[in-house]
Amino acid sequence: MMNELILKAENIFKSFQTTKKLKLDVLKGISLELESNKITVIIGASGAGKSTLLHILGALDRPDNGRVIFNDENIFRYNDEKLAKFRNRHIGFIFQFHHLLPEFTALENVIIPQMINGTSFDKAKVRSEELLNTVGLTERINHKPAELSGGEQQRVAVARSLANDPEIIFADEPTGNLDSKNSEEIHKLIIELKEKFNKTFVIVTHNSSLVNLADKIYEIKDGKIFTV
Amino acid sequence: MSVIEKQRDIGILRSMGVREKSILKIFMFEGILIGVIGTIIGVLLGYLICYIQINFNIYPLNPAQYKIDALPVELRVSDFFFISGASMLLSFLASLYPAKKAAKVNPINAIKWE
Repeated sequence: MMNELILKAENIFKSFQTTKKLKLDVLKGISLELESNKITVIIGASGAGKSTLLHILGALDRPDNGRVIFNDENIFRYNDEKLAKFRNRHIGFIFQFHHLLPEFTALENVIIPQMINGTSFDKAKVRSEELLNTVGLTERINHKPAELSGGEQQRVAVARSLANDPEIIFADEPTGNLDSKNSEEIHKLIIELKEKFNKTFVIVTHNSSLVNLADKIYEIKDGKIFTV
Repeated sequence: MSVIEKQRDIGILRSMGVREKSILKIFMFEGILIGVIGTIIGVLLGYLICYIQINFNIYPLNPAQYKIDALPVELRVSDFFFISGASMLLSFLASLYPAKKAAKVNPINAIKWE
């Protein structure tokens, strides 16, 4: 059976002006296809452009050239406002550092993306409680990030990434800041969520056990992408 | 204002799909709120000091040097309105620049590091 394509990147170029004279070409014509309900892992040396690619695929940054197609539309034809809405509705992010808002509780952190989407507080609260329950944090929902352990913080971040029921979740070194036991728990959680909610995960990582979970592996080298 | 210390949070909110306009509104609202609270406290404090001076003469003048014995104070409603209005306008204007800066925070740079 052919798997359904959920996102397609075509010929992505991106460079950064490091100094006045020096331009660094990070991505040199990258094309890839993401299949629905799969875990795609992107590997590569530090500075190879993995995160840059992830930011572009996740509509956080615009490429210099190239297209990212989602639902038959090139998302970079959207203006910034529509792109923000697209991120809110269709994309979830998990970062290396949990990046939770420190003044808010775990529950509120999961509620916020839903309220950005226009969901009422009460409705968002019910869904957030369910999600935090799924990631095993029922007892900790009213704790602020500083009162949670590193593994718990990252689990809240995972719950938050699912808040608006996005089709794709992008994770940038999600276990990069965790010990092996907590990393293992996050891996299990990702597999469980993929199965339970039919989600597509794109993970940038150095972690070999996370690479082993992948349905598809890409490597970025010298600005180009290769299937491993 | 807190735009610099809130850079990371702004980046997080932007990555979750908050629009530039909404970030602008948050920081302008904060600026206006600080202005309103500050103005209310200032007006109350000003009124209290004037009231005490009028009734209890806490700042007497040397009769050898002055014809009057106390610092003269007059409470004018128009002054209260004018000064309150001016201070709120100034605080609103002062919130514009940082709010615009906040809206323009690049989410990628803001979320790169812990």
